[in-house]
Amino acid sequence: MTKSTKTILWVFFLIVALVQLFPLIWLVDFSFLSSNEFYSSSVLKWPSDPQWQNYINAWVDGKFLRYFINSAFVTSVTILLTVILSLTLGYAFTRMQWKLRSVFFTIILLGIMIPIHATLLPNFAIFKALGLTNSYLGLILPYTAVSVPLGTFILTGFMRSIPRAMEESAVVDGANIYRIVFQIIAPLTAPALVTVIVTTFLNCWNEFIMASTFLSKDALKTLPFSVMNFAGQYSSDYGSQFAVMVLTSIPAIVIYAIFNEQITKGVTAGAVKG
Amino acid sequence: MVMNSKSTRNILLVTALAAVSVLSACGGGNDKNNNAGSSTNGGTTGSADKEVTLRLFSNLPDRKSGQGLAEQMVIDNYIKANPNVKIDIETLAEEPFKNKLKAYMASNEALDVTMVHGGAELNTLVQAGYVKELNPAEYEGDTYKFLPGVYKSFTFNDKLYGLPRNSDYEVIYYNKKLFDDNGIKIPTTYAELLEAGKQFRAKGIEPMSMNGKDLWSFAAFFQDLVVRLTGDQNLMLDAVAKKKNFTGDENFTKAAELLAQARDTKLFQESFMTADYGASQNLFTQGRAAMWYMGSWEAGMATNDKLPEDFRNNVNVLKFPVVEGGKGKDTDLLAWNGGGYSLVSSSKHPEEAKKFFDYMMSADQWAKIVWDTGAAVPAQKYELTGKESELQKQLTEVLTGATSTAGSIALDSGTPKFKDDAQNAFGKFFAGGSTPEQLLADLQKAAETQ
Amino acid sequence: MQKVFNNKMAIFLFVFPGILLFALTFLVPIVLSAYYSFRDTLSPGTPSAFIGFANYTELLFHDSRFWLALRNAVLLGLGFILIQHPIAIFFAIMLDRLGGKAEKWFRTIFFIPCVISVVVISKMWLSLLDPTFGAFNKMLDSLGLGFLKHAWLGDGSTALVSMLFILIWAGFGWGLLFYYAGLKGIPDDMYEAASLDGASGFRLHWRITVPLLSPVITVQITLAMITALKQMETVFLTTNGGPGDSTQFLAVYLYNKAFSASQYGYANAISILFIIVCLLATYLSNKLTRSDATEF
Repeated sequence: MTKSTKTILWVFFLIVALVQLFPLIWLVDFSFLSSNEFYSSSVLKWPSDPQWQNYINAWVDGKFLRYFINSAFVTSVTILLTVILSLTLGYAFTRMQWKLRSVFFTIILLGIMIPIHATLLPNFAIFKALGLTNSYLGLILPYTAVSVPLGTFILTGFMRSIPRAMEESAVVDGANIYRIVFQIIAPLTAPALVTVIVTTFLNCWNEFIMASTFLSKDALKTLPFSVMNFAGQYSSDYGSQFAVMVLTSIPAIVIYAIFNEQITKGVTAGAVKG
Repeated sequence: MVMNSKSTRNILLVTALAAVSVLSACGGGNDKNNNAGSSTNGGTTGSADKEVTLRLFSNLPDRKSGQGLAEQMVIDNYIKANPNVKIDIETLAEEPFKNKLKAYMASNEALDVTMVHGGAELNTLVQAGYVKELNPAEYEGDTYKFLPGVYKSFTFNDKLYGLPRNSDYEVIYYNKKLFDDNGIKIPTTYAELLEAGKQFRAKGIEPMSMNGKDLWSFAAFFQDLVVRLTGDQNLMLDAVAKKKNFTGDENFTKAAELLAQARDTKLFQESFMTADYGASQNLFTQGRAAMWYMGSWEAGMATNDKLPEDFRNNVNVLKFPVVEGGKGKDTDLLAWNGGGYSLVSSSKHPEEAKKFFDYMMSADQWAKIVWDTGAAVPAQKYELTGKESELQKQLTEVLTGATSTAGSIALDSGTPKFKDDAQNAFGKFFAGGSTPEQLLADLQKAAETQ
Repeated sequence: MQKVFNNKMAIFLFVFPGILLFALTFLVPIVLSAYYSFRDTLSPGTPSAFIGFANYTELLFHDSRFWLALRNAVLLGLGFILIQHPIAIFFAIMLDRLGGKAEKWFRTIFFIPCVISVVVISKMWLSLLDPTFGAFNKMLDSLGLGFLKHAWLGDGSTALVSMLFILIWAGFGWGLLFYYAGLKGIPDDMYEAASLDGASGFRLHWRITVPLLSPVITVQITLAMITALKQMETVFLTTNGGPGDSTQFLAVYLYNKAFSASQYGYANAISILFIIVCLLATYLSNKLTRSDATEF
């Protein structure tokens, strides 16, 4: 590629990136404005008098810290459970010898296609009958159930491409099945696990419909609620509403920025081998 | 997700299996739900001094102004008088609140007291046995001072299931300054209203703000037009009850045509179809719209210090204007009692819950506080304090000057299905530009198939 | 060897927890749904009556809103496939050619919308496209295109397109990431061999890159169809299916039937048909795209 085409490409990408990011820039910009300034005619507006109060409202009345901790806890446990279950299921489907293997594999894969909204109300009734609503488990279990099918799908694809030699020599060395799965296979599937972790993280971190249907205790609510609650509480204050939106977006962006490299590598490795 | 044909076969197999198990599992499903319900029933009944926590579910998330503040003050008063009682309040904004309450009803959640919407919504709760029957005799007399006829939307088969918290009636709030500054006449007839709309639009000001996404305001607006045309408060209610027809009635046809004029002259703000309650209110309170079609429960705007002072000094109330040649007067008021509270059947502390409920509904609590804070107009007799805001005084005049009232809002007088279908008909009318005839045909169908 | 892989206890421990959880969240609810779909009831716990297939016949033969919701999902899916994915492939190829630090930076930036919560995305776009204070119309104004100003989400004729636009914006990063990952898997010597044959530029990519990406494309097309069918949150939080059903989708429709309209039996019949449609769509899109794709 010549230098000039590269420059053109560069400029082109820069413009597209700006367009792509514009809504977020606008969101941050307007989160510093007072409600009255929203109606001025300029597209972006330098906050000459930045409304830090908007962020104080967002932090305090949006119960940001409380909800953030809840989100972090629910998401971490869900990721852990999803990884363990997808790994064991994936292994059982690709390596173990048993009769109903392909039937069960298909059943699990159905989970990718079944819309969760179709099962929302009966789900609520079932989890309530089991006494699981209004606890962290009431969110962790359904989140895990929704994440496992995709996780299993990604991991089975990846495992099929791993040669069996390692496991065979491990068996010869007298390793039992649990050691093989968690100490030999798990590290080998690391790139695919990254993909599983990322998709699970994004799905749970941002999930809203189940959280709003299943939870009622305020102490358990997750981050999207900051935004939802605010829309009612501060309906007349757009600036504060925007501030809470910015605030709730920051954690996910920070986490993404930190793990960005691993995510791409993971997805690339997963895609190539899959 | 690409699957080989074997997987696809398996999927079909599983689907077939699921279908079979449905047929064999029919009875089981229902039992399961009923058991889930009854198991939560056997709670303890609290004696006077035992620590109890009551659960209140409310649609007022803003606890610092308006009705939310009033509700919070009642709760604080009660806790002060009853230190053994704690009250757990869960609040959601209007639309999420309604959905969540249905989920609670479906799973028989052990709430103690809940906010309810009279009419269709409450009817569903009643049929599910989720709310308790009340004895109207208990609420007669000077402790409560309920105005006559306010139980209409809370009574089903002659049994009372909740108490109204406000006298609700639709008015047009307007920003006097915007009218004065632009030299636009405050409308007294529908034609003048449309004309004022055109003038505001020409000046780049949104004439009337409307929460079109929520759709119910359209139905109220339409009902107002019908009453102005005929002077008959019952006509639309009768049509919903299938005693009259929406189609082939010249009054309905005329009303629908008038509604089409509002749509076609762009009386409502540009964003009206995506504006929810908050958005439509914001446009008005920020001085971007000259009028707002909303209920009397927004009296608190005049005293809400979060709103611009300039707005608070200029907000006024207008009666829905008369229609030229119509038989209705501007004192025929679209008034009903919509919001209220009910006791929940599956409450774990029924006695304590009732005590709190009775306390809240007594005339010197909710009714007095909501009036004194300027948040809304109660459904009970209240004393004037002399410190009322101008807005409150105007709202009181509208109510006391009313020569007839509707008693219920037509949209809520049918089943929830009617409400949903009718709202959809109005949505189609305003977004897709269907004809007045089409609107009436859709409403007729909604009434017939409810 | 065989003994280890036949370990019944291990198989049970590996499979049972997952299956149990799956049964609780998917299979039992579906069975319950199917049960209610044959009944007329306001909600679980209220009186209900068995009405056979009445809900289904009403849905299939008399309910235009159901078909409208389905049509919208298909249109959205086509929008994804015909607009979002070609753009994503194009960008993935360009990005791959760019190389260096810039490649990494742009890749990072393009993915950012994917990590934003759907609640924020919905509220943000609702504001951006608001005709009174939204940036979009203001931008048209400042570009001298004021005559194009519009209530984008509030007008039945533009709402669905606007929705597609929002969803493409929000999901573009995922498509890009997967195609990009697929490209990285194509060995460089493939390109070299092709350019020796005289292919270059567009032709090179058309002949080499796209066919080699076809496994990824197949998966992505199926995913796009499912995503379109399952669309719920963004619509629910922006237009709630409106105005006038112009952005109605199955999940939103069934949610509103179950909750707002209290037609619980009917809503469950929608659920069951919804699930069947999703399975059928997966099956069909596999059939149609499987020409030479391998199992993924």
